[in-house]
Amino acid sequence: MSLIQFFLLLFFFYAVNRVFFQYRLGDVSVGQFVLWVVVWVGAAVVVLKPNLTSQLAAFVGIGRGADLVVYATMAVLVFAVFRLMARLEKMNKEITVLTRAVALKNEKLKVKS
Amino acid sequence: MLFIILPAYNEAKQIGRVIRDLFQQLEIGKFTVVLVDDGSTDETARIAEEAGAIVLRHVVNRGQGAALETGGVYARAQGADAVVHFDGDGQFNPVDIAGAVERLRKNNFDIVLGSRFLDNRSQIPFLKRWFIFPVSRLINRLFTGLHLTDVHNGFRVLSRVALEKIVITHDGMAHATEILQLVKKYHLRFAEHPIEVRYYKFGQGPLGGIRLVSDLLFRTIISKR
Repeated sequence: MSLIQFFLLLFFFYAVNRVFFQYRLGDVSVGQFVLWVVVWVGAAVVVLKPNLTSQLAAFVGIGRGADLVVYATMAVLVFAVFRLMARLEKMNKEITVLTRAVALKNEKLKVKS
Repeated sequence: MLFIILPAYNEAKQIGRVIRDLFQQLEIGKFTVVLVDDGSTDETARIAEEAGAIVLRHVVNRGQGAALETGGVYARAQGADAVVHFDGDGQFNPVDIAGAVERLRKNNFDIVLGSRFLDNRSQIPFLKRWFIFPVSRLINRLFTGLHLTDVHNGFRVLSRVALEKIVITHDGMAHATEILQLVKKYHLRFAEHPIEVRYYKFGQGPLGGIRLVSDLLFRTIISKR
């Protein structure tokens, strides 16, 4: 095992641990827990058996295994950023609804008093 | 009853004068001035209240679109038959309101939009007149399909019908384009009316414009509305 493999595996082990504890605390749902475990275990498998990605890369028509990992990671990250932005937009809207409700309620209280 | 909605963010220096001018110079029968204080950190709310406005206070800053809609919700609930969108920074002339409201009521328009280009009272800065406005007009036309002589000056008079239809969901400056999109969508009867704009500060620069367009595009991508 090379040094980079060792450190990456250590990091993945730590990440799975974190997900597990967050799941125990109720911070992440069962679905998210399973998703993240699959992601980190998958990453560990790729690190342990780099040839697997090369075979997969050849199968889908990409030259090198590492390229496949980079492409796939970028696609997932871009999608994640888009999802985050959409969620942020929704949260912004909700904050506006709340702010408006407070403003209107305070005006009613002023009129009453 | 007519409601004049003033969105304001840290306008303590001007807001008292703007509201007093409205009460002193506007001869249009009974009207209510609603100031939406958009999370100001200065004395805007207190000064506006002392000058005779009803003050709705956003606890945090949400943007001009959000502030106008808060005023709109209030006006709808109070049974407004028309509302005026006016600026809290003193750049509009209160005298223009009477003519615009009369135009709306006499001709049965749903919405009257202020335009700086229908007379020559507004001293428009060179850069704005020849570079920023032509681009903005084009973008506006692309997004709304309406042919207007002016864009985004913030002076509008809405009838009750328009007030019901135009629910602003864009919190930032893109609300101005959204309003025009809704005018088109609901086939509201609109007209432009000459107004004077006094330039104390530059307003929205090119960066603000880019932000506005990206807001519009992003919303188009993530939602179907």
